[in-house]
Amino acid sequence: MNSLPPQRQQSSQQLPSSPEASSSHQRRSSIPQSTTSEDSQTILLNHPSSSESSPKPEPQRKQQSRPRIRTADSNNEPRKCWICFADETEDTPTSSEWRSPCPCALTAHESCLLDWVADLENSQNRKSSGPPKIECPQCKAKITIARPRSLVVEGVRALQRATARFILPFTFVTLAGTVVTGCWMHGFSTIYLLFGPEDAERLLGIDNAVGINSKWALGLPLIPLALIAARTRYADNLLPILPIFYFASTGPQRDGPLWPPSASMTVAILPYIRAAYNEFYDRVCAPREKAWIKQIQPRAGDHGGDEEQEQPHEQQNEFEDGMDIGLDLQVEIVEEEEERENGQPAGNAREEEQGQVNQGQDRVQDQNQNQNQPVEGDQAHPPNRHQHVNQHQHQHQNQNGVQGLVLNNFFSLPQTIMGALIFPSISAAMGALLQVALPRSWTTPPGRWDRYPAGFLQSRFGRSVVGGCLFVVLKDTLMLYSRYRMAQDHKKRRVIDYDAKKGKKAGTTR
Amino acid sequence: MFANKRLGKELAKIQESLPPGIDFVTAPDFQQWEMDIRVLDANPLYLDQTYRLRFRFSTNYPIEAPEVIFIPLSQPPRTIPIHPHIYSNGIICLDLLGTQGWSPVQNVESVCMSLQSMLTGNTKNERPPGDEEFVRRNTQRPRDIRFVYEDSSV
Repeated sequence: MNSLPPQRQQSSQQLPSSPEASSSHQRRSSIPQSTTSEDSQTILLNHPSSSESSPKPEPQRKQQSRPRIRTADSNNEPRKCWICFADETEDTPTSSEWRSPCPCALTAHESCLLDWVADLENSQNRKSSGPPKIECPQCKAKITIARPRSLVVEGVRALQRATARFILPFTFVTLAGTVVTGCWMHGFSTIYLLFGPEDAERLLGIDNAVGINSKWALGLPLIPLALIAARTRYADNLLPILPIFYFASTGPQRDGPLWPPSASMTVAILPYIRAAYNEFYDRVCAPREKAWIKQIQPRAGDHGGDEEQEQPHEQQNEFEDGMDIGLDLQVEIVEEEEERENGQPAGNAREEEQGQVNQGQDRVQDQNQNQNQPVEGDQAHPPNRHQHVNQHQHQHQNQNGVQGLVLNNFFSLPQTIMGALIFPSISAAMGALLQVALPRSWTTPPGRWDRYPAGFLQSRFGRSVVGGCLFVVLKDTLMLYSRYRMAQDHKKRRVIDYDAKKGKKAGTTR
Repeated sequence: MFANKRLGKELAKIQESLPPGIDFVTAPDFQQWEMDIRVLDANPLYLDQTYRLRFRFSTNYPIEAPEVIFIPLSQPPRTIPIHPHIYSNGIICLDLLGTQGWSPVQNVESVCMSLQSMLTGNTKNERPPGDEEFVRRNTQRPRDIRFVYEDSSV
């Protein structure tokens, strides 16, 4: 031990500059030896005669075992476990075997090695990166563990690794599957609601025991999606194109009577009805509606509060438009003429009102102008100044407003979706109401001897579609009427003078 | 037990002799030891400074790495050495002390020597990037911290 201090000094001084150099001393191929003394404390021994020290740089840069010079009887030194630091002399009958698994000097109890290997494997599992690499910390030689090969265990391990890798994709697939299934169910119930059980089963191919027609597997989930998509203004550009595909695909082999129109025919025509109705609403109703809303705002002639008030109104407008779109898009059908019949009276009623509210319309345009130029809004414009603003510009602004608004309000989104998804139910309910309300001869299919012709309303589907259209029109009418009433009543408001007698009464009752 | 037996042997060895610059301070039990280290050369960053290391051993030592940090003391004066891998709360970012870098061939003495050489070789008078944030936020035990050992040059 006398020789130790200088040697240590030397080695520790080497460390900073070239730790590899010192650790390379430790590379040995010989069996490790150590002194018998308890305090000899070396697990990794360097022999002075270790001329075979490989100059290969040691990948491990720590100096876990300092080079030690052992000059005497090294061959007789007991082995020492590099893990528990106990040497051979301390072995008890229960101590496990000694193992030298690698070419270097390290030797250890088998049980210690196995503990260490188990830890390595566990910590590797935590990182889930393949099978662990078990190598000697000193010489980096691979340590081979013989263990009973069990296909079951290995299979389970591989399976576990694989499943860990698939968790995320699986979650996505599951969520997507849930959504698709939900959409599918919604589409399914939509068909049932609109067509009634018998027609729906015939349509879906349920009655032929083959299962649901394969083309519906894709179509059904698309129904709710289309309903929702149709609520946006983006559908305006897309929807009118779709019927063209329909006509192109069906081609001339369309047979059967033109009247009543088939379901698919009706569906194909719906977008045009929708566009026509929207156009009508935008041109005729929306301006007046805006005017009425404007009238009930404080100081209707001023521009101060306009912009804040404009917002909720546009929202409402969009919601209503969405209703129409939703209606049209359902896989259902509306009869063109019925729609017109239903739409026209309401339109006429509105037109009658037009005269009364011409002034209001001007104000709306004025208002729109202010939206574009908020700075100008400070000056009080004479109400008629923008009378000349053409309808087209108005239209354009209106659409822009709605488009930007499609998703910009957090609360309008769920509302829109709810409205879209529930619309088939409403249509079906309205269809059922029609069946009750209309004369029996309109709603029951003609028997063999009946003289009246087949009609559109005789199918449940037809009634549903007409009912849906009716609902939209009724709703719009109701909204417009309430706006109109509010505007009219607004003018008639007055503040009640304080009446001494009554006032006291009021005070006491309160 | 396993850890105690091995630590007993290490302690016996440490008390007998230690490399220069490494001093044994206290080992009240087989759970927490303290060691002093100082840099031997004239590195101006650590000149005439001694640093206190605290080792904490789990019962799985040496299979598991000990937790090693620098601790500040007022008497005798001990500070946290400045080093790009040593946070100002004493936590050391060294692969050898992590799960991946540790192996049972390491021991208290070798860890001290590694840290000693880590200080000796350092020329940067700086803390690790994000030191303040780390010190303010960290409540983990050093062993649980996932260091990324990207820089082996220091």
